[in-house]
Amino acid sequence: MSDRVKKKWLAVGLIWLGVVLTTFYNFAEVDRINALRLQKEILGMDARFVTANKDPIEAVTREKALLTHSVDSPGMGLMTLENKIDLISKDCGFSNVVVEDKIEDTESQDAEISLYLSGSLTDLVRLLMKLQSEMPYTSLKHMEFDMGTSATTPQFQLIMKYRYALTEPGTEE
Amino acid sequence: MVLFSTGRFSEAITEAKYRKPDMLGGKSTLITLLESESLYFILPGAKIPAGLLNKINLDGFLDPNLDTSGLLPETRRMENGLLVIPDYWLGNSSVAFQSRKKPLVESFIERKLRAEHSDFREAEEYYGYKFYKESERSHKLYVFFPQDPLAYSLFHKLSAVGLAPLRITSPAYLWQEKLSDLYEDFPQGGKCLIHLETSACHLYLFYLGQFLFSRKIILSRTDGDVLETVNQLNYEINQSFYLFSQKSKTGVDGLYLLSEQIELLTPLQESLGRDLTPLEKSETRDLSNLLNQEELGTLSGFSLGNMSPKGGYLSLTHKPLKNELEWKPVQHSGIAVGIFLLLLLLGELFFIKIYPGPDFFDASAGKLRAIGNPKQVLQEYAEALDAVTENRLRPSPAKWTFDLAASVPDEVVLKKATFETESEPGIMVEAVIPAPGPKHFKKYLSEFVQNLNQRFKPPEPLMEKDVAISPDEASSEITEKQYRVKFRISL
Repeated sequence: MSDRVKKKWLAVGLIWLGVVLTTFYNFAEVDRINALRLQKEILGMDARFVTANKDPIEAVTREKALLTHSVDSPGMGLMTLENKIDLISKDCGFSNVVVEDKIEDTESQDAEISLYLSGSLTDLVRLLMKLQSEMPYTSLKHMEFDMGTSATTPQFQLIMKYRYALTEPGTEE
Repeated sequence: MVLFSTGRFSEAITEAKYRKPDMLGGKSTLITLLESESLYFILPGAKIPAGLLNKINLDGFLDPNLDTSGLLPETRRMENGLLVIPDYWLGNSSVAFQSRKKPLVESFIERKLRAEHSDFREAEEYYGYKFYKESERSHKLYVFFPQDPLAYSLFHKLSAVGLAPLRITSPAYLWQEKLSDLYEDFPQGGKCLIHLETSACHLYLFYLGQFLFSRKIILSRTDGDVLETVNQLNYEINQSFYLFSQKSKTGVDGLYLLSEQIELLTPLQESLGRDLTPLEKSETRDLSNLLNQEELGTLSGFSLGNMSPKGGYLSLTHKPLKNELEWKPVQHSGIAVGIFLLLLLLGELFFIKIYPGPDFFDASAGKLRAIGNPKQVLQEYAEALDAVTENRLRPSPAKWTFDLAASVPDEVVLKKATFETESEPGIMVEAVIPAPGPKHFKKYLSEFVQNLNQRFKPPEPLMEKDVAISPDEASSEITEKQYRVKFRISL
């Protein structure tokens, strides 16, 4: 085979290689644009949804924020919490209030709070309602009460879960 | 037409420099004529002015001790479209062969050439063939091949200098094509062409339209004696007819005469006792404008148009080169179609790139900046919704406590209660029921259980059988009997 013929075959090969590569590139480019277009449509739909439901979304986000106590440090958070529980308990009529806390895992940003009280069942209901409304970042896990005898005061033990979040430096609660 | 003489090579070189290669990088084409022991390299001038590019003595060209003496560099850069060699350099034979399948035919011819022409081993690579009709029912295979060692030497030399001929033919085959175009009855019976020149006469004999043999008769000097010339021609032509009848087993029934000596027509007809059909010399792009009469020899009857490198006449091609030529249209089609498709695809790519518009994605980015990333907003919303829903579905301990207290009948004393809100929500209850007898106990317990089921609506209602009953030891000193009940209500 002469050099000229070889060169022609080489030219044929290169041209058709170019055709094949360009075909694949075009397919890939069409797929990419279609994917981007779909993404754009989805983003548009999302944006329309977010705009149309701005108020409910904000309300839910605010409510969710209330489920976590923003604190500067876990210790500060617990101190605040204990103080607040003490105030609420006394406000509900309890006198001997014992609060114990236990942070098991700082990564999960929650703590277990044990509360020992003595008082009436009515006071307990009031306390539970106040905790639920004023401290939504706590949730009751376990509760025991012993009514004792008519001569003794009923004893209550509450184990609660406390959720906190460390605030970013420079942000305020 | 531009005339290049052998002494005016510089003009030829200038002309050759302007021969641009074709679109696919092809070279300009020349034709090579071998006549009177000289090689003539000629520009055929189909689209460009014709001209003689190079003239070289054959012996000098083939001398291995000399280089390509006299061959211009411009000539070597061209493509040799056609080589016209003398008739006697080519042999031919006809055989009956039924199959038309190319592999079978070529295999047969190569075997035959090996057997009959063992002294020309290369004949297997240089042969041409065609089928022709002998009668209504039978066809014959006509094979022709180089039979002169000089032919192979010339082919090798031309290949060595990059001028391997794409086609090889001889004047007889050029005549064969020309006569078959001019006369419908040419392919029937025996035909003879008498090409009469001043000092020589060329006889070409054809059987059934296929060249059989040719002869060159040197005319004796007759000083214008027409009768003597006619007598000599008459003798030689009849000798040739005799040879023809021996070869073809038939006679010559048609004679054509090409001659500028019109005065010989009538005497020759009378002498031969047959009619002669006079041929007119081709005037268009006549070779005589490029070569003189002595140089032209047997080629004087042809125009450049008769020797087109594109073919149309019977010719042979070196087998490897033939394969390349057969693939040439495929290559050219492949290149042309490939380039067309490539351009089409590049156009498509350009369209794809510009179709979405320059602000296609900028607009989206601007929208995102305006409202924040909606995907992130929605993800946060979903997480918040899950957390809020979970919190709202969490059992209310205050309500549980209240419901429990409200479910206890007046006769029942609640002692202990344990609330579980997470893994298995439920309440473990302990109470004391003072009752004078089972009847009263059952009544109070039933009321207690019924109240609990009404207020808590557990998935599985609490039944009296689920309640553990035991006497209350603390009540032994009291007159009325008391019973301690213990049960768990799942929520």
